[in-house]
Amino acid sequence: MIARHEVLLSLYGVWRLFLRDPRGIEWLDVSIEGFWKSFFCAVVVLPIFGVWVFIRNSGLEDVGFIRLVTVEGIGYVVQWVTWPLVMAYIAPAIGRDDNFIRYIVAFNWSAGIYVCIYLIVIGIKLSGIVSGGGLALIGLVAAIVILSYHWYIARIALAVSGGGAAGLVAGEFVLAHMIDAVGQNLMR
Amino acid sequence: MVTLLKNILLTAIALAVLVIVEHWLGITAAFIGVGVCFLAYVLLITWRQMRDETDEN
Repeated sequence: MIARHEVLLSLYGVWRLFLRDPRGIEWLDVSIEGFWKSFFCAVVVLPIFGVWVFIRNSGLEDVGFIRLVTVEGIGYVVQWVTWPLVMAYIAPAIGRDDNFIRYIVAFNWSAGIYVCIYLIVIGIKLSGIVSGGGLALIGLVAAIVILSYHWYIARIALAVSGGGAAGLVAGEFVLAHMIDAVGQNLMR
Repeated sequence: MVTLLKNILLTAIALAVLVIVEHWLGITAAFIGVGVCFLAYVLLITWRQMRDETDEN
């Protein structure tokens, strides 16, 4: 079981990375044990994800609660597992086997930062202070901030070139959207 | 490490398939599907064990 101070230290580490401080990685536990503990972040961000799911699916009237929880729950687990699994094959192929755990630990804990960004977007949406077009722009800016953050994590943690990191972020982005699209189709 | 992640992913995919079957064909078909898959799984394990025992002999 993970201790509270470990969660806080890890979140502080990824916050430092968000501020473009490469020493943020030193705050993370990059052991095998730390690798598994980083998946605990899925539990940490679960309440915010729950709010996001509730808002996103509020327009669906013919979908039952059990179906919603089942489909979103499966999608959530798949989202958390797929990218580390894909990277387990990509990292050795690109000669970054040694940095794999470091990257996944940083990537997993970074979810704590990007859900905070989405929480801000959700807050703006719920408050109604910004219109539809403005909200779309804020959403786009949030997406760019998150993608550039993932790019930085890939560059620092995996020690790859800027282009290589961009390719990985693009792959992760497409994969996440494919999983999300399948989940949304299951709702219909 | 990879094996565990793979098993979790396969379980999640199997659950997603079950949700699709339930949505298209109903809860009865989903229960039958679970039963058939469980039976197939037991048979697979039995067959593997028998094969390993034959190899040892």
